[in-house]
Amino acid sequence: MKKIVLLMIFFVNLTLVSAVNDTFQILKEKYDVKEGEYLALIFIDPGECDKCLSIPYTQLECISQSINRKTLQFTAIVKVDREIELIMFKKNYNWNYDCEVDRDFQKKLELKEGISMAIFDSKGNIISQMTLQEVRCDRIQKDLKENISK
Amino acid sequence: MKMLIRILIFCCISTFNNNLLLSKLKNIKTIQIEENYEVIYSNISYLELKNDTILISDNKSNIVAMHNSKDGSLIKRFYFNNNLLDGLNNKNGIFREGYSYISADTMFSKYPGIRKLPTKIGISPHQAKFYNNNILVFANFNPISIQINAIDTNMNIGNINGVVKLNMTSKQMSVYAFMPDDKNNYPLNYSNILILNDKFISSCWNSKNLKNNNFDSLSCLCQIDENGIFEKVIATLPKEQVKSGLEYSWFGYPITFLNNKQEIIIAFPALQKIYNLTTNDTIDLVNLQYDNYKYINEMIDGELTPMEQYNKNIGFLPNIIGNIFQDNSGNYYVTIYLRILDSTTEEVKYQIQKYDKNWNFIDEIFLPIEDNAGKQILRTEYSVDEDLFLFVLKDSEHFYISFRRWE
Repeated sequence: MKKIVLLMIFFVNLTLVSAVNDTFQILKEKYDVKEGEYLALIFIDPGECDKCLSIPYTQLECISQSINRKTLQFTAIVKVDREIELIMFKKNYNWNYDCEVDRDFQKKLELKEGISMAIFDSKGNIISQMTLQEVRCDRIQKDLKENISK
Repeated sequence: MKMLIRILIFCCISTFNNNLLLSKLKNIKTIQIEENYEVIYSNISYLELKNDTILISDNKSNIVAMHNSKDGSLIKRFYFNNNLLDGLNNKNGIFREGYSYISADTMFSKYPGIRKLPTKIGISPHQAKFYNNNILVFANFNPISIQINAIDTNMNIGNINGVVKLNMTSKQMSVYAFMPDDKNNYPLNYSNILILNDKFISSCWNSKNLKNNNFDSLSCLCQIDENGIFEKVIATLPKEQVKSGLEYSWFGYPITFLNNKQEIIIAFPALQKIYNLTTNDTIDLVNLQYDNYKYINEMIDGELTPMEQYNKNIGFLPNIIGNIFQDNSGNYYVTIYLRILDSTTEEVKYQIQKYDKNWNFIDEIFLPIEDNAGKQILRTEYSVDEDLFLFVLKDSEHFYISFRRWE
């Protein structure tokens, strides 16, 4: 009986891990994240918050002064339903970078609920995840440095 | 084989139930809302029907537009002149002295060297309403604060609620910011704005009293004049909402509605009660499958915090009141968003209850969040002129409006 339970836990974990990996893999391929590079996702609900994009953006800009822009790519994950809605999002928010329709990414990538930004390494490991209040240039810098030195 | 039969039976029952439930609200017609590259909706946050016209507001895509109610075709999109925000003043301590607000458009034309930030700056419409010969757009303004005679090095983006008046004949547009009073009561656009004798009844909050634990005086509904000037507090938060820690957050602001006698009816989404502010009557909703007070009482007793409840049950509380309507015969309708999502139960649907004009329960229906054709029901409104429910539907490709009559 114990063996069956352990086996079940193993398979459940395996399924979860592969779901996370699948989701990250899609993003990794789309944005061509190579080894030693990072992908920052900024989560935004256009109806909820007007400044939720500019705060993480300015902090990422700050980081970009010490780290190559190609090394740290960023994309907005927008809480809309259809690809076409991204046209209005880009226009209204003056957003000239990559963006994606939010396909339940926080859950699929096993991120904390309600976070505003998450940074992944090329293997899909979460380097940093922050709420809007926590998004700060020095914190991101510290998290990245720690990961690079590993 | 047995399993297959079970699945088939389940599917048949589900379809049957959906049809049965929807059949009580007879579908008069469903129209597809026309979109083009200038008008792409993300969220129809409000709509009004007048004659053959539907006025739609979208607070996500920043759109106010008129459509033909017969076929959904686009008649006109209204564009806001963001330069109107240059006229916003900073009276009553909205912002620090020596600074004034300007629109992003002015800012970037005056100082072209300044990099645009990825931020929604301008006028974000919450709800547009027909009023006399005007369209009143209750909106969120995001002007930029700038030090007079100098570029503010710490450019700050304001967040002010107010109204844009669009005159239909003269095409003139004017903007009024909702001003707080000297007791720190701040009017907001969060819920349905009522228009009564040319005054606006809006939700509001009091930051000072909240900070000072002056819980008896937490305003939640305020009256402002047509120029946005604060006049008086109409209602304060109920004690149970304050004691539970729900306060202003967690569905804290009231749903508002003006009945056929021009009485102000409100409901706090989590409290399962309807208040008539004009007659001082309180009505308890009946026939609820689950009881919010199971959790609210625990919050009042200090055994549960709203955040713990949120983490435990992503539906937060089982019943969240969405809207109140009244038909031409005086019957009231209350729409409730029913959401139980915890480790043991998973149930998400709309409950629409019908009460007579004296608030005696008559009937109710339950609607799935998604209909049989895969269309999600996003919101419900009621057109008193046409005596019809208006359902906003969305599928993977389009938005629709379904006109339904309770039979």
